[in-house]
Amino acid sequence: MSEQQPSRRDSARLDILRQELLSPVVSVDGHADLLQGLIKNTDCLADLEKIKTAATQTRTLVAAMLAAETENLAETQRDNQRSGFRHDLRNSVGAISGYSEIILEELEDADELSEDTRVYLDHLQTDSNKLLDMLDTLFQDDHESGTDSESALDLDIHSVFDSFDRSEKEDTETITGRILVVDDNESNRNLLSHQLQQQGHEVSTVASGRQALDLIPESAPDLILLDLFMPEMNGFDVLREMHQDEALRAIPVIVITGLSDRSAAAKCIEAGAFDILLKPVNPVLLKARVAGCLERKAWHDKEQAYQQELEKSYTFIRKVFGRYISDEVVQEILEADDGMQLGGGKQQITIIMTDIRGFSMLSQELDPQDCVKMLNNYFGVMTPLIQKYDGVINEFLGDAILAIFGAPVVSDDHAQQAVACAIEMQQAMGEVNRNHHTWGLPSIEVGIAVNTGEVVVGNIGSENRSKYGIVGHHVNLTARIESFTVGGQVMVSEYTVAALGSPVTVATSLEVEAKGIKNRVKIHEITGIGAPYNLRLEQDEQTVLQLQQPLPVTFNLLSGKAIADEQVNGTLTAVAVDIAHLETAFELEVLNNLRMQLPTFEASEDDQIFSKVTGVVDDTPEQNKYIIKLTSAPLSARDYIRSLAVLPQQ
Amino acid sequence: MAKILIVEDNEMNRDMLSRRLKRKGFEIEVAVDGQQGVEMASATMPDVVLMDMSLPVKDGWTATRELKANEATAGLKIISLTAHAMDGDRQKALAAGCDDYDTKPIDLKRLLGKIKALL
Repeated sequence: MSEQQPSRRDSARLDILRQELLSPVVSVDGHADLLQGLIKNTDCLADLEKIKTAATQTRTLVAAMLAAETENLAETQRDNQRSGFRHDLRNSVGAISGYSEIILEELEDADELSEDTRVYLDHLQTDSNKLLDMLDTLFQDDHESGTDSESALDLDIHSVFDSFDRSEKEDTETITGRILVVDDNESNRNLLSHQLQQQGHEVSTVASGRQALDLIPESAPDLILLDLFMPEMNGFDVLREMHQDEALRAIPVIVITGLSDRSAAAKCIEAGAFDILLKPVNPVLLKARVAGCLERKAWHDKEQAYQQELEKSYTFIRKVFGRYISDEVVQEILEADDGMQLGGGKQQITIIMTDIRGFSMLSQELDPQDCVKMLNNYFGVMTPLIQKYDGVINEFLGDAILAIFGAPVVSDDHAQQAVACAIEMQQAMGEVNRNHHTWGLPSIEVGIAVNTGEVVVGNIGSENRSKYGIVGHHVNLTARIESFTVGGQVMVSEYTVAALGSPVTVATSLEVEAKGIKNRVKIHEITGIGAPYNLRLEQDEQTVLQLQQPLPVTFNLLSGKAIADEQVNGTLTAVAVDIAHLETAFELEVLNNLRMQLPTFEASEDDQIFSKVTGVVDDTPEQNKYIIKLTSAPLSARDYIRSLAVLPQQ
Repeated sequence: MAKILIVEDNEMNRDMLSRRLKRKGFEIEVAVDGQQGVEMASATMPDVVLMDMSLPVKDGWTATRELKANEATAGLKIISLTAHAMDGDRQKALAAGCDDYDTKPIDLKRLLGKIKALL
């Protein structure tokens, strides 16, 4: 190895010298060709021919001079030889510069010198001067500095070869892969596959382009070595067909051809070939190109896998979130730089909580199937509405919906979006109940609470099971407000109203106490919201009918979940669909919850009737008159009360 | 009009040099080897001889020495031209009797300066 190195380096030195010396000559040739197209003057064209002749001589002399360098000669002999080449080269290069000067002078005199011509002629001068400079310094180092120091060129050569040596030592493992050899010539096929097998690759072979195309899709090789001239289907057509196919296009192809025609090589590269190797294939080059190709393929595959992984996780996220969030919000989360970091953070958001009035009782009476049908219908109508206002359904809890606005995607108008959404949800109850009617199912009503405040938002739970959720006393407050609502109402906290940008119509306002909130909280029943939403709730105008005979009832006042023992007497004096006027000596307040018994209606222990005080008609002492609304009652009880109301009309 | 004899075996060099000097108004004679150079110099008695050194038949140094040794031609002004451009070339040319020395490829301006200096 160490004995071979100097000769490798010497030959590299000569290669580089040849390249250095020939590039100005190639430039002269090229510019002379260009000038032939520009110059009309016949004398000058003749001189241009002489320049081309001189360029050819120069080329031949350079090759001969460098070939002579490899001869083993005595020093004086070598010096004489070099001097001879130098002399001849100075003459041939001198002819290039001399004739270009002559052409320049003659065209100038004849006033036929175009700008391009001048520039190209200048290049001939520059190139020949460059050559002359190189000839002057070419062998100077040998004379001046002997063998101790090296020229800059030698230093360059050594640095490159030293790097080669290092990389050879580092290359302990070379990349291997599955390679398909496509060649109709059996000897070629065998040689290539043996060479590749020796390099550790897994090789399969086919003898025609058609067979290759049949095999490639299922075998999916890492690399294809493709012959150009084959029966059935030639290599170029294979390339073109592969390029048409999205899946096959990614497989790199090295074309192996005996065709040294440059335009054929260019055509193959254009058609998608990774590289061209000329026959007979040099095994060292083959090894290097195959390794380079496989490495690129490995990177490409890795990138592809990563891409697929990413796509898969996106699809997963879409699937998980898509049930609760609109596509736009999912897209926004996916595209946001920190969108996937759904970690905890305090955030101002608006919360909506809805509840179907008396659903627990209803669910006991209904077929389980009907119950599920009813809920699916209800959620099916509500979900798109919430998404329409950029809300996120955080949870379905039984018949309740917990939706948040302003997270995970931050927005400035989450309060008004939520209020508008709540109003439209109430409006949509008509559609929900129309479906119920078609199916012969009872109508339902929802109460909706809206509250705005700072909560902790993020992924809450353990490593294995976590969900995006919200925590904080504003969540509890929302639930509390929800408990004050009756069917058809949208109750909004003062915090939400303060955050609204749009004007709203307030029907009634109350103050309530809530856990974790120091002061009493004002809540407002909202029946409409202005621009840009312009939504209004049709007021429930139930015709209240006086009963011919007041209906005696007894009731207990509920405090929280507890039912007071004290049983109070009263009478219902008027009824509508689900409201009634209650007269009693007992003093009640708006929002008091009552459990009622109708002595004239037989009910089981489970069939309890709950109602809420929604208004005061008259509060003269000893005989108070309140409006109550049924919040939860068995269907039979509702029907019974309704029958009392419609009876007088019949 | 000054007369210049170009003694040059390289056809392109001869062609270039003669054409360029003619353009400058000189009368030009050419010889293609040293022997012919000596003969033409004796016959035409130019004002300046541009003598290439590596010439066939008789090289430039010999031709120069012969011309300078001959009484009839000893007064001829001879400028040596060489493409070798080695350090010793100048000394060698002057020792042979050349009046001046220049290198090829020709830098016309420089050469004209040398010719004018000798006229």
